[in-house]
Amino acid sequence: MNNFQKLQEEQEEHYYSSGGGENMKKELTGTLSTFRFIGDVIDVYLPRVVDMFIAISGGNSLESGRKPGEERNDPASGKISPDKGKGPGDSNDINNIR
Amino acid sequence: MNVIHSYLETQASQCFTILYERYAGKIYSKCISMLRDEALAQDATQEIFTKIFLNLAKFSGKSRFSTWIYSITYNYCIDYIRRTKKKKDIFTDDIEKAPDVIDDVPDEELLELEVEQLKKVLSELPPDDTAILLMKYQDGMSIKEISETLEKTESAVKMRIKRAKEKAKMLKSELFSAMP
Repeated sequence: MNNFQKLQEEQEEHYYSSGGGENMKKELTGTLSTFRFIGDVIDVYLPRVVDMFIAISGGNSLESGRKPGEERNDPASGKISPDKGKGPGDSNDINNIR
Repeated sequence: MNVIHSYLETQASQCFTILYERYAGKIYSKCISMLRDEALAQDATQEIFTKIFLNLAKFSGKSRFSTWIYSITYNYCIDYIRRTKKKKDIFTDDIEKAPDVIDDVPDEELLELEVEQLKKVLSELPPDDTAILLMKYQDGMSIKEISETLEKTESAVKMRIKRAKEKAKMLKSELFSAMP
């Protein structure tokens, strides 16, 4: 270990012994948690905000989870698409009840 | 590298603690050598760490992780000095054109200094000279790594090291030659 590295070691020791290390660790944890929270909020709400703007501008927003090109059930048209899912409103549900 | 990947995947606080404990003191040491003020060095360390964690995904693994961290540290300090101390000439390009006229100072001239003497010499040197000496002798960075950090040519870096060593030698004789 040369004198430059010894100097570094001495300054490190001073930093930890003065308590600066622990205080900064707490502050950093807080800062990073805030950034993470903001990131999570953006992740959750940004797609909805974009959808809302698309809807306002007159376009059709893509529903989350629907694949592009996949036909959409439109109750007003009376047509039922040949979808694979078994959700509420599925024609088979009615038959099952009967 | 495993710790970095774990942190990126899980954001686990243990990984944060490992990285923090390994590098916080070293970053602080560089900041205090460059900025020469304890409070400023603490603030700088915190900002540098935030920067490092927010950019962790950008670390490609081409260089050593320590080199990547120290590059961020030195560049932060250099920018800070440029911005606040109106020292715009720090690491300017004049060295690129400078002729190679300085005799090389042997490393022993610097390495034989006592720690306290070294601290004094570094505190009297311009910050850019301090930075380049720390990169070479404290961090063991190669000329190539230093040139990538400072975005200078390798010959410019060699010239800057020579000049910094020369200045350090002069300071050493000014400060300590009269001592018994």
